[in-house]
Amino acid sequence: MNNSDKKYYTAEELQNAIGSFVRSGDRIGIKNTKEKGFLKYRELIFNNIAGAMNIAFPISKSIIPDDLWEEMLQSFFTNHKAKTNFVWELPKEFVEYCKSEDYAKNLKLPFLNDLLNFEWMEMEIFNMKDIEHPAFVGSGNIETDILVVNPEHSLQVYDYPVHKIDIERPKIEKVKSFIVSYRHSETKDAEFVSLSFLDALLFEKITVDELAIKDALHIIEEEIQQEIPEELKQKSTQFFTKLLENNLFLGFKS
Amino acid sequence: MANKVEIGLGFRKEIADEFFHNENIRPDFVELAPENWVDMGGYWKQVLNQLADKYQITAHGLSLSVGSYEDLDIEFVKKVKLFMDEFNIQIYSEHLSFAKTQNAHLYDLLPIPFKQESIDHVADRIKQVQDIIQRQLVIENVSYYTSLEPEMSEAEFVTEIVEKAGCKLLLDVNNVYVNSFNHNYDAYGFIDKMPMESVSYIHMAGHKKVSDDLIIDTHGESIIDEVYKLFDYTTSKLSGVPVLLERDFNFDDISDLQIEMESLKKICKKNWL
Ligand SMILES: [Fe+2]
Repeated sequence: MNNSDKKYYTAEELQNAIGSFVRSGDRIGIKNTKEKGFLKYRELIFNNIAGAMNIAFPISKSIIPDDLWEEMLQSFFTNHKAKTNFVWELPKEFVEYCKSEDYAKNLKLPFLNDLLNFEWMEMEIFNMKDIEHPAFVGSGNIETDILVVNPEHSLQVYDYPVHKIDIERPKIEKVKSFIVSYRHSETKDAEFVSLSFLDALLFEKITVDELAIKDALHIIEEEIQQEIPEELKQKSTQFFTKLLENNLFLGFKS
Repeated sequence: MANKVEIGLGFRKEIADEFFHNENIRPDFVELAPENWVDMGGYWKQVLNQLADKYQITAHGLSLSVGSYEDLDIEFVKKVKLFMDEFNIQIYSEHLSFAKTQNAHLYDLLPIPFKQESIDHVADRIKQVQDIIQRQLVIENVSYYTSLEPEMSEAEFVTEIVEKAGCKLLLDVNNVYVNSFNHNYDAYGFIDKMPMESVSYIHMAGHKKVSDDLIIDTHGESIIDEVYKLFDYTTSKLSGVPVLLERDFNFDDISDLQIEMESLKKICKKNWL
């Protein structure tokens, strides 16, 4: 629509017009203004938003062809109403936007939603508000004492093992994957570990139901009505010992 | 302390280490954008705690959007207030701009039309903010690349808002220079029209001339001589307000920033002591 003759009267209309232009690039005619000035805003604002996404999603960006990635960013910029005051949180809205636009299907990258979410989690875990650590003791029996989890963590379930993606050959088979992202309480780095199905079940029992590993394994056996081979139990116990060393668990309940 | 000379430096994550370990960077205070720090934990929260131990902090917001027509984001302002309380921040400044339209954040500072109705609208919103933060808001003259159907001059617009809202003025001297160039007015005449008794904070920065008729307020270059001159003129009409050097990128030679802070200090001392 050519609305170069349209007269704006209120400040609100003017501001809405400039906002629409900045986001969409659709020309609007406002008397006594410099088009060049508008274009500058559009460019600055887009670059700012695109920059934040490029930092948040380096893997997704490298897998998606440049022109398509640019199109996704433009579409997000134009159509999405950014809600957060904090630019660092905007990538989270981009993940939702991509989901709603079904880019995973359109770009024939079925793992894309999982990958975007996985990349965002690293940023969220690194930056998120501090959560007070519960009381714990440093030593205990890994099998019979209750482990205290680092509260700054998030368990995610994905349809694809996106943590293993190879950017040169980004084809991956659909396999349920369990990832725990967490913030190391000393280094403050964002870390992640991938869990087997059994370990993910155990993780839930330990952290949500506050059970010791031995009791948790027992309950899982009852639930699946099947005995877990001793070898697997040993393996899981060793795995959780490692998680304790790596700060996903802080210690034991006192 | 009317004659105190304090020169601060914008605190940015890219150069955070310099504020703790570089002997050659010695600001009297630091300024940060609450939007980059509120609600943040982990590594950056630790840094912020250390920063507050070492320096007095001032807050310079980005997303308040005093010009917007959406309801004021009360929850956000309350968060800023808590943040100020936690880190002993006395000064909260914001831009005379809008950063949001049709409920979408733009993460940039766009110019409010210089209209009477805008003055009434913005003054009301500033008062609302002041009620929550329990102090005067310090409002900054922004750089702008286009004006929207102006009914009055920028100087009249700024002055009337400060008066009507009962807020303070953050006078960005570089912005005055940039705007006077881009919109063809006399920078000194603009300074003369400012309500100097309300000025409680000054910004200085570098800019970039991108064409014969356009300067962009980049905060990425050194301050040019003409802006120093305008600063000298401005500070000769004031006394004892904090001065902040803004630099958002281009940190190749960080010691240049100390040299700039010292130049600013020299001018303030000449005019104030
Ligand atoms: Fe400024």
